[in-house]
Amino acid sequence: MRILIVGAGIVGFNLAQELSQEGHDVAIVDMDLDRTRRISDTLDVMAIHGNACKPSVLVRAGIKSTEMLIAVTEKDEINLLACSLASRFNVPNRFARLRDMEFTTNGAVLSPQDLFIDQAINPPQIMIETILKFLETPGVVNVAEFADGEVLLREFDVPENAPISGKSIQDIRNITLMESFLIVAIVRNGELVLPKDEDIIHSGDRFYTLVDKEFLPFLLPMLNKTLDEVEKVIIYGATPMAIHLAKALEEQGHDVRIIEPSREMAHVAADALKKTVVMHGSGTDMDLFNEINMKEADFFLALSDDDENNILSALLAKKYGAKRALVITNDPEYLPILDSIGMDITINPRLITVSAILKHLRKGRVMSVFKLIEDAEVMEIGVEPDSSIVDKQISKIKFPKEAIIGAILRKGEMLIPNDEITLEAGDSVILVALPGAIEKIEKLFDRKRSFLPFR
Amino acid sequence: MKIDEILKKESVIANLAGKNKLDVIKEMTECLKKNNIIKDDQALFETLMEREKLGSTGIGENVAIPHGKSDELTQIITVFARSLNGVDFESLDQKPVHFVCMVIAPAHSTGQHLKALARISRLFKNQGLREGILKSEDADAIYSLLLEEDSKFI
Repeated sequence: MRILIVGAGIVGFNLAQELSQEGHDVAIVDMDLDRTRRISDTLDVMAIHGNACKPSVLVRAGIKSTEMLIAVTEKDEINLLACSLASRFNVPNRFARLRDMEFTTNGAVLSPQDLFIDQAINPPQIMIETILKFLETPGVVNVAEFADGEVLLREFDVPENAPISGKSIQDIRNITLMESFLIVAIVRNGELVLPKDEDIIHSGDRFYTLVDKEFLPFLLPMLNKTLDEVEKVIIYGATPMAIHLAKALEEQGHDVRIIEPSREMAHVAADALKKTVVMHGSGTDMDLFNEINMKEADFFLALSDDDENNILSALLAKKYGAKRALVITNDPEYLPILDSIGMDITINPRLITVSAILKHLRKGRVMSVFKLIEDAEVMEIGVEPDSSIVDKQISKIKFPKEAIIGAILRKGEMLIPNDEITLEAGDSVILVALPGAIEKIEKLFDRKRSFLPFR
Repeated sequence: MKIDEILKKESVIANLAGKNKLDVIKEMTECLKKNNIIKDDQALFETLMEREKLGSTGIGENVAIPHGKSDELTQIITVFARSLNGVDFESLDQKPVHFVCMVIAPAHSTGQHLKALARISRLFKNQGLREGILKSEDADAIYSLLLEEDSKFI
């Protein structure tokens, strides 16, 4: 398919990389010469330097034969205009990232469709939903959803004296025969391994599990003996997203404080929120930390637009006694080091946006893909009637060693895989694959990444 | 799956005598023996306690759902018990447990017990039901309340 991406920032770059690797004919437009040069040098993608609001630039980028336009510049207005121009050029599928929630909330004056957008992606909304999940589940460090939210992927810390620690995978399985969850990966010293029966879970490890949403309450007590209800939440950065999040937290009865370095933004936040206390100050102000009793904070959320300030403020907040810290970093380069400096949870809005867009694009066999920080993928793949694995018993399938089936979904119900299960057409399989296995899995499922026609 | 398929009236205990998790699980497995549903209540007790050691089945909001498999059974059975004073079940939220619904599945059960556990945990999310059970006169009243609430699910 011919795809035109407008905006070569982190999202545009990652989309271009992913889509060109999947065999699509990709062109990308950006105003910044450094960015287009970098893409020309590193990717098999046509990079055009120019202003995407000008029809002539879009024509140069081949819009007349483009089947899909994805507008992901930093400016909502440019994304809007690019989509309406694309509609004039009869591009059938048009995606836009719209950050301002005013465009996408219910009751917006103009709906995305009025603005010639088939699918609007609102990263702040996705972030808020993700952060709320972190606050709901104690000890969770990574979250994703499969099968429309019926199956949850959760990564947990294994704390000291967790009942589950010291037990082998086989022991855990034997004792929890009646429960619908499976440990699909163990992360030890930053390295991800697929669990074998004899592997033992230790305190200090992290593990990924796929769990039927009804069974999460049975799993949590295996990790912690008591639950610290999240009461006090301190947020650094009064971005519009942070304000929306604070509103949701207020409604749930949390005690929320916001620290904001800009006086003006602090005022905006204070006006928009009822119960939340907004403090004007820096994210590294020790006196302020003492004043708001950082040591009583159950969660510190660093949500400003500045990666470095977020990281610093979260480090200090932890030092001052905040129980857990969540950091937003936009630059993916930071992700690998954040874990080693003690950040509990890191979120990258750019990568979340890329995943959200790809999820809407994909159709057929691969229904969704979630990339783990540790360089592995969790995929949900449909079993098609014409694939080589249909009607085969799992034990008979030559499954690559670097991958593990975590769950099978049959008629909306999650099954824990075992050797006797025979895969049926219409099932979907959720699996964890290390990089070496992805291609083999594709072959096995005869994975062709194809795209959804929009309406 | 309906609750009346897996819960019989004689398996409802209106007032638990036990004050702690151990006594309560003992009392409920003995009830199964008394009703001639199982013979080896000690083995079942041990299976259930082993699961509790891995993590409490007290899932919060005063509810606990201890569960295990038994090779004496050919179908899923449950025992429901109420404790007016509350039992320390080592639940995450540290609230005393008033409602214990024990679920025992046959050793070779595959999918049915998942449905049973999911259905029971959904059922007890209903605050109205929990309050109703606390106010109920006796085992008969609790039983009909459970069935009535369950019939509202499809």
